[in-house]
Amino acid sequence: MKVLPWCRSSRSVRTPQSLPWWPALILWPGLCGPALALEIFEGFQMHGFLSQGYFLTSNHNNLFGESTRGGSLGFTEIGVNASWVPRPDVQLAIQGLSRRAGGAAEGEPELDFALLDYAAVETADRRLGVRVGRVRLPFGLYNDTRDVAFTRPSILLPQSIYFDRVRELAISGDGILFYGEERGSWGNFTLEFLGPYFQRIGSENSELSLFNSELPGDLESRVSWGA
Amino acid sequence: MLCGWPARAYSDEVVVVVNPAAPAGEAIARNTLSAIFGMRLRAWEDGTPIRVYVLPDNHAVHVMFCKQILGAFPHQYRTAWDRLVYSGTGQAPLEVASEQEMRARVAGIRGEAAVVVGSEEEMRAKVAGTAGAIGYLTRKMIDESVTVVPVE
Repeated sequence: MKVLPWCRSSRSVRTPQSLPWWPALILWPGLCGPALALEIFEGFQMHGFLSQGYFLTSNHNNLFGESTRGGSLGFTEIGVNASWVPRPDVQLAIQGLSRRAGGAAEGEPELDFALLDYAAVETADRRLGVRVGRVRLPFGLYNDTRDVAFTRPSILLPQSIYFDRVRELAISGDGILFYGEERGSWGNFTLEFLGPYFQRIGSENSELSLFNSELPGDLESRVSWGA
Repeated sequence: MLCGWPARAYSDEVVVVVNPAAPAGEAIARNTLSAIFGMRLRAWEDGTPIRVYVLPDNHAVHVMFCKQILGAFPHQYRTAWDRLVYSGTGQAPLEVASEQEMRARVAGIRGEAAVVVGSEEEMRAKVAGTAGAIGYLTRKMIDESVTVVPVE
């Protein structure tokens, strides 16, 4: 199991000559909320979100470092999606995303997901189906909606698991996802099987995080599987 | 015997209501109800699409419905809907502004007691497609335009 980067650092600074790590303070009075939620016509909905963060960090902070010049507004997440359910067993959904986060993302709009969901079996307590297209990868607990501030439990998700430098590898892929859902009085149980699919490895961030430098040539995606 | 009780005694009880034409059956199982309001079950048994109506998250009747009938807090349902909507795997329920509006929408075109808050023209256009609608009301709001479905 990986150690969270700030946990590891926090131990290393617990020396007599340095202060404990906990005075590190991150202020994030972010604005977030569903910007719009509309049903345009029956079965067709549009939703959006916008978060603007303001980061102000104190000294002795091993994750972000100390803020300079009174903090930063360099964190923005904007997304718009549309979904259409022409029949109860079919859903089409598409989402565009623009994300600005320091030097890691400059806000270029990207296609986040675009999928067709078909449920072959649906009863009151069971659903079996397939999603085809660019689908969100079932990874961790929050990957499905990791850019939507009001669906995640913290300001930023732990970077040991939701590593934003290689986010395009983990966030969504192009292929097929099979899923089954069982609904009992004890809760919902979901099993997802992913594949075949192709990872998104277009950006230089992927190359930098894999090789730690920019090399000549291109990365090529091979067929992947997951569950 | 219960019928003889004064109606006021039930005025704060929240009940599940459906469009009179919706094939909801004699009663609805609690699991099924939470799958419907969790926006996971999309069709009635005969294939009719389920149209789920809710009041705003902070509305007193919505809070009562979530806690008493569904056994969860409103924010838990809101989070579940957001996770469906922003991963492309589901849709959000349709939010109505008031209980009167909810009764009008669930009742459909035949609802003569349609006291609509907001634009009636817009309302009428939306009400036209509410076959299979489900929602909830306090008992004092019930009239013949909607069907009450007990929860088992």
